[in-house]
Amino acid sequence: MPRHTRAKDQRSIAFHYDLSNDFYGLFLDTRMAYTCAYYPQEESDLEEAQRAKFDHIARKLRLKPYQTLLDIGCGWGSFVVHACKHYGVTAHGVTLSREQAEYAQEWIRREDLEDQAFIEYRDYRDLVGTAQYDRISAIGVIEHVGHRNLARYFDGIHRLLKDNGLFLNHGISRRRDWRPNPGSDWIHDHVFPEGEPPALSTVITQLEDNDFEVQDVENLRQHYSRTCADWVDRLRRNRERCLELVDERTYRTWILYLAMSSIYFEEGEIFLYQILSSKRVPRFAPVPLTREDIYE
Amino acid sequence: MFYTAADVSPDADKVARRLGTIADILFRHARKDFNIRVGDRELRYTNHPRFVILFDSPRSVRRLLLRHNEYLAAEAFVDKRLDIEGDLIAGLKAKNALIERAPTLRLGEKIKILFNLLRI
Repeated sequence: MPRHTRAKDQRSIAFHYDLSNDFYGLFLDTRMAYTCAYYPQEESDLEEAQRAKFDHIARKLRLKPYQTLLDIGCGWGSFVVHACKHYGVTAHGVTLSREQAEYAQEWIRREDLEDQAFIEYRDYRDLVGTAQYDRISAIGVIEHVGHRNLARYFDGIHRLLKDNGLFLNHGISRRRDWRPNPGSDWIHDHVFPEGEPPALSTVITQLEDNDFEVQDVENLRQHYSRTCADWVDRLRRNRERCLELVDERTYRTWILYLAMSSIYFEEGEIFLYQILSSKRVPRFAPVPLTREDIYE
Repeated sequence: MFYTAADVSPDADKVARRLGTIADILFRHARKDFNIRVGDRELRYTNHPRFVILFDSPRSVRRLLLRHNEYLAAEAFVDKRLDIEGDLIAGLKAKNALIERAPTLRLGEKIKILFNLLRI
């Protein structure tokens, strides 16, 4: 089991995400969302699906104006900007990638959201004890945390969440009986060092052990398979521009990695789970009796 | 002359025919909606391929089939010894046809594959 130290986590995140913002721009949507999209219709494109994903998460979190939102591993700031613009929250995003943090902060300035949103290059673990938030999202983070750190990860989030708060964890999981294989070894060696997606059962156990009450679980693996396939198409269409930024081997490594990921999601080797949780307190969580409000 | 279900070019080339024999055995139960190119040689199963599997040389075919392993195949793809033209994801899923086929190969078929692999 690999050890996840702060320095190692920073190096791993930088290895994967600091390739260059322009490189990611060649295959991501205009919001630079590098996580599973949510395709509301068969004919939806990636742009629409990424927007729908952020709305899906915002509705599950029951975001309302003036609530405080912490987005852990905020990437290029897409959910922070979306939540501030469309749901009126005050958002704080943290990422371990300097390139992402700078890009996100600049985006916030362009959108004139500086009073509402703030993004930092910071380890989420450093926030514990400094503030509490109404809502917390962690989109595409848990796969970087590592099994050894899961208890501390959820304990930290528990401390950062207000008693009547909601926490949405959106992340990749592996099968419970998963074992390393040559394909996963190649991804580990060349693209995604220290990636360690936990099994759904492990995540739920950790949530329970850290005094969370699970409200809802949704599997979006079909959506992630399609998202990866869309990224492959976009990157292949932008091959010439890509080769101005990276060498041919890097380009080929990435189209293969994204294509393999699409297949792994399709074949049920990996999954994408959204898990909505609240703190375990002696009253009901801030969710309605039914889930109709998410789909209105 | 060996028989192969694919249209082989160059027609009289023995290596191309041997490659065809190997492909016929390995992809016996697979949907033939693809073609294969090995250097200048071509195995054509369809006029409207969903994808084309490309190997730079017969040597790469031999290495990948004798030491079949997803890690080595990924490295071969990055080095352009192996490539997919057309639908990349469908092309990569062709590995599943091989994985499903492997346990059903009879001894005679294995010997035939090995015999032909060593002579390409």
